[in-house]
Amino acid sequence: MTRGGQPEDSRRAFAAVPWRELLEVIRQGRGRQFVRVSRKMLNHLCSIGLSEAQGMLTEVDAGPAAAARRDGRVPRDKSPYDKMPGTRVPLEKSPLMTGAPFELAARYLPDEEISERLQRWLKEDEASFFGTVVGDPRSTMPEIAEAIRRYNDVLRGRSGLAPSTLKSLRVSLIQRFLTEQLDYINVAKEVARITDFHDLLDRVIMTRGCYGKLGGKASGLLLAGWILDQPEARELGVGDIKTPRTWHIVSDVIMDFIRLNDLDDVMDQKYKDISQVRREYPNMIQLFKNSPFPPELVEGLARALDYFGDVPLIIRSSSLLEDRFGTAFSGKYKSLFVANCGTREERLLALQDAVSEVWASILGPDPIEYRRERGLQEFVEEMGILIQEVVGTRVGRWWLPAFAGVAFSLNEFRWSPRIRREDGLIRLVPGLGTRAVDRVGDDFPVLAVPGRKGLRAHASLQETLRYSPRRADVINLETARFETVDLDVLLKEVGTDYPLIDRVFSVLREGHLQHVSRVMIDPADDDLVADMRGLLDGTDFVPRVQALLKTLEMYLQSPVDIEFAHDGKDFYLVQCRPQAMSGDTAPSVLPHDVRPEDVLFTANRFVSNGQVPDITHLVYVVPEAYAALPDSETMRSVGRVVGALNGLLRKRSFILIGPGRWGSRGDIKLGVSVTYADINNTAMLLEVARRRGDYVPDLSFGTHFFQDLVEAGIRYLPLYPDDPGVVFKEDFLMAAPNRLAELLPDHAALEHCVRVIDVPAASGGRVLRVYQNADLEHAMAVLEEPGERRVVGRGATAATGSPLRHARWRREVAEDLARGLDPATSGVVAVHLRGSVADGRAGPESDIDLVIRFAGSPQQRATLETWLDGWNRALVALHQQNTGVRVETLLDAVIVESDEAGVGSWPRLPLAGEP
Amino acid sequence: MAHDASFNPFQMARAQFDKSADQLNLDQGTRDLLRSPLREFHFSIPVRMDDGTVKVFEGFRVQHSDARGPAKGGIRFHPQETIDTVRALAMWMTWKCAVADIPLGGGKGGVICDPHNLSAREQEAICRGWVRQMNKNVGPVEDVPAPDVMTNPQHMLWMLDEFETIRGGRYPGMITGKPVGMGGSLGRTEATGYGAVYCLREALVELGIDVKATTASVQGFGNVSQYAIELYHRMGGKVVCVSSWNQAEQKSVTYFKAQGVDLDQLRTITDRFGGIDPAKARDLGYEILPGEAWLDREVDILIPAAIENQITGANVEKINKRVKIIVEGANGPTTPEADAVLSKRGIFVIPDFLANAGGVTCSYFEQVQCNMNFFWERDDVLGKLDAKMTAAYHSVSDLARKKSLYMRDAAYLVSVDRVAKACRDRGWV
Repeated sequence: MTRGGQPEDSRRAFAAVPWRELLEVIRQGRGRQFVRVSRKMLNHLCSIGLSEAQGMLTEVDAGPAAAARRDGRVPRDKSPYDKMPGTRVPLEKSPLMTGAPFELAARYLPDEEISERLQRWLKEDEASFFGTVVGDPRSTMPEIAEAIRRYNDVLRGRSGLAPSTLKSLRVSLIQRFLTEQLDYINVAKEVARITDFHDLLDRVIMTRGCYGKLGGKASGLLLAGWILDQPEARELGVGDIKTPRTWHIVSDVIMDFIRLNDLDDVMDQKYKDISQVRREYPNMIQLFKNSPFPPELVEGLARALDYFGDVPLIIRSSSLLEDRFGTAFSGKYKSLFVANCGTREERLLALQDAVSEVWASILGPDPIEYRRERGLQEFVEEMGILIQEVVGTRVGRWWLPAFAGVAFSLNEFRWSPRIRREDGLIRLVPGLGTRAVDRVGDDFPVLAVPGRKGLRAHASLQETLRYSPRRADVINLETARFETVDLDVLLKEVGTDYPLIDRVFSVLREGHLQHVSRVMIDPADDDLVADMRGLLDGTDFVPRVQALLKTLEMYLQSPVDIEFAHDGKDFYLVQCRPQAMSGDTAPSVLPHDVRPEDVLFTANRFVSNGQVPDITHLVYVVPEAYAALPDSETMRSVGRVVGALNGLLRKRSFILIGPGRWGSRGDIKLGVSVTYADINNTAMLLEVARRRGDYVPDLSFGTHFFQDLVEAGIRYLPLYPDDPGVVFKEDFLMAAPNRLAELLPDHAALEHCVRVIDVPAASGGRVLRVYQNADLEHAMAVLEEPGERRVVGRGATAATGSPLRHARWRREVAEDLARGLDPATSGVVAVHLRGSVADGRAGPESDIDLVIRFAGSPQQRATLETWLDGWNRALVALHQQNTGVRVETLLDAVIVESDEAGVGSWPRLPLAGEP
Repeated sequence: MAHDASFNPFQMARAQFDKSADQLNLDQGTRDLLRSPLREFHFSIPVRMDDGTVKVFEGFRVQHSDARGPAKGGIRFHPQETIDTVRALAMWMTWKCAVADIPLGGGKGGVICDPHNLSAREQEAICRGWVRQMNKNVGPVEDVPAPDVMTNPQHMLWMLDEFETIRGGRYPGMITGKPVGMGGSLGRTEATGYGAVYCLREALVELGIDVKATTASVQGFGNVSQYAIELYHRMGGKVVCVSSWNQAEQKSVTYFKAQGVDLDQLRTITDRFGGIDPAKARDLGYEILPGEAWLDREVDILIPAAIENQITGANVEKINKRVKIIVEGANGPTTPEADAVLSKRGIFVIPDFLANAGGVTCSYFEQVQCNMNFFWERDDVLGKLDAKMTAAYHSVSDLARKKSLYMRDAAYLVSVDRVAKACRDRGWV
């Protein structure tokens, strides 16, 4: 394949010949290239101020006549030629064809300079084919890959390309391989090198004719790696940080797979009812696993296995949506470990199996629900895949890193008022980092705050023992399985072979945790506690993580969220992405003028900022009743009831209060088993930590789940009813009438455990508002009259203009409107809400987008249009009164007479007479 | 439950003292002296924080009485500390040391702070600041602090180091609760559990019961329980039931085995918090019962050694008729309502501040060893502990028997009387 390139032997020859000969060779053999270098020389001569060159330039650009006019040889036209097409200057007559610029140069410039410039321009010119290929949207990935290889071949060992050319090439590559997001490109173009892409290429699996990208996770990690190679990173004290060896599968290879196996109809899953999606998901996984791969993919995976050898691998999704700025799809798509043991055939099959399953996770209920909520349903969801070595080392029969974890720029889990959000947070575990990322329910990561290195989350020995990790996730190389082992068992077996044992573990002797040198540790007898004190106090680990976060934050201009691991020798960055943030984080004013009897609960620990207005329903899972449920199946049914209520109650108008940890993935007794899809409509999630015996249940320190809450603007608040000075009106929660049996008659048997309280009905028409102020470390839930409230109190100025507030008002208006439409008389079949109101992003100038499905008579339609116009006028006036913002139209209702594609996916509002 | 704001521990402690004072018919001067602390120190501790700012912490030391010897008591780091709590605790220390008949008085101290908000360096600065303020009034022969709420051996060593730096010498007896090798005593871990069983042994002898014919049920499986079971088994008794908190299940669970529990075996399936693994216990032939079942077993002896308020008005009637003795290994396991029922039923109760005085006695031994810079072997410590506890028990039970008193009342009378006598002997009152 040739695209504007030259045979290699002639290129080598050029380097040695004097410039005149070289120029002549070019003129005879490559006319267009000759013109381009002549033009460059002419431009250069102009730039150094040669007036002869400027004359020549005019002649080149506008013809000999223009040059004559410029020199005053011919008078100027009265009317400039901007109203008429310019004259075509025949190229064959141009001075560029005659070599005049070089002749001129020879009079003023030394031969060495001309020679040097000519060489450089030729290189640039040779590289230009590359830009052509990369910049052409019709180029396939294999074509681009080939171009990069050739580019590297052409320019290996030779420098001198103009910085602007290089930058342009980098941008093109970033756009094609990684992303078209401007934020990303702006950073990446400054830190990436073209050779980085060349190095990457050998490890990218693609099929013929594919156009895809590497996906979000890959982009994030590559960018982080490039940033950490910058000299500034070293100056900030980041030190030597590696990234794991990685192979990539391009994002649209999945489409080849789907085509090959006639699976196109599976992509319609996203339009199905979520319960159907959930039901069919296991079949989808099996369908994917039983479908053959394109041969190029199998071959690519085989090469990847040869490259990695037999180290365990992790297969991670890297979809185009995942990890994009502002959208955390974290944990929605699968990441799977492969032990990579056995014969080559067995390993290849296991790898293929894992890739299928990760691909199939596109069709899982959680991601579909999540995308639906954010209006991302129609985004073509291709998924790249990362095949990474699992950072670790073989210890006995296990593979594990010494420690691993996650770190955040912003700390949303402050256990002390001295910790500022910008102090960040590290969650650390021995073994694989999965236990730091996921909620495991019955075990704990070690917490550290980069900005407050000295502060401990736990003050007493008992606390430290209670909240230190007791288990580790590892890969068992004998059974080829991912498993969780007790650290006691692991240490007894591997002894001091555990990497960095004296950094990860302290020794408990006589009621005292001590740092003991590795040589003096005897795991057979010593009581080892994974408190990480040796690491946190005895090394530069914390300052390094802080520098790492700061560096990434500085380049990405966004708080970041990273995953890392240490194999005992090296520190690896495993993932990097922007930290998801709610825009609604202003501290709330705490009202002073409330009567104590109107306060439903207060909190004074782990309070974040914000305000939850106008709650009409409370769902209270009674802790004692939940704990007393006879079996795990009944407990699981509580999760299902919560999921059903989540679907029934109006979005963001209810709050969930329950014992312990919502969504515990470990022991179901620690909290109600729900997924994000089961709680995504709540305005607030409250966890009640009641003292039991000598123990207060721990918090669900954040994870993927928490980021979901942040992303969706769902508040999280832990309640400690047994703390001094805390209000918790259990009597109200227990005495108010329970609407569960009415809403979900099939689950009436759980009435004693799940209480659904209609707040206005139980409190004389009032609503519940929750005011949270992290600066004062105080939150209060108050029963108040509905409507606008002028908050007088302490804390800060009233938070105004939050998107949620605008979206909420608009949503309520839309709901009221829909309830005013009687299907029997109006001809309206359904009203759907879409756009910024539907996904909670509405601002003060947003309109309310409705799609009204209509099947009535023309007369009914005319009536409907008049009625909607009346609504619009009234809303515009009301809105101006409320906000002072004048908009022309507030109601944008589209009437459709058929079930147009996609309409059904938007939330449907209940009409008059509907529940 | 939220704390009742009207609850004042010092008022409670005074009421308890008044009751004993009435029974002892103490004169007004003695009452006035002992109703209030002898000395109180309130001081400020300026600390340079990690961020360069200076924060001033409020420190206390209350020496309730040093009539019988140097004051003894812990140092608490507590954000909601009140002086009345410290006063009450100091007074209780006086009675506890007196009932154990060790030559120490009662004290308590602390700093209003929350270690969750403090780095290790800042906590060290608080410890050293505390000693700089108090160094003239603490020491091996004045007042001997110890670890308490949210303080640990490390804090003690920082305090000791500061004290020794100021005084210019080595005075390990200035403070207790130090690690072994740095002035700590062997036998500390066993002391409380063993101390309770030394009392039990004497009670059985007095009641004419052969220990070998007895069975016991124990609440809790922490240090105190485990060592109590160990010694009781060595004496020939049989523990048939233990309960422990199950972290995973979030409830306490009772483990029953009619032929007796195997302590060593149970220890192998127990985490470091005393939590027994129910599945493994079942495999080992233990019957798994609800948490409160330890209370209703048909045994001779109950040993509540977990937490406070476990035998209450609501469950006291469940106690089996066979039960003859309750040994309070924990602090305050019996509520006043339950206490009244036990007293009426004639169950012999070895009250908490006698039964678990093994701990403070061992702290006294630590101090003694430090003062003479000669450290005993473990068996020496435990042998001396046996002698002290046995004597302490008998002085209480003798009085109870002679005067037909409930053991708890007798214990208070013995201790208040000893302190009052010391005050009189010194000519203070």
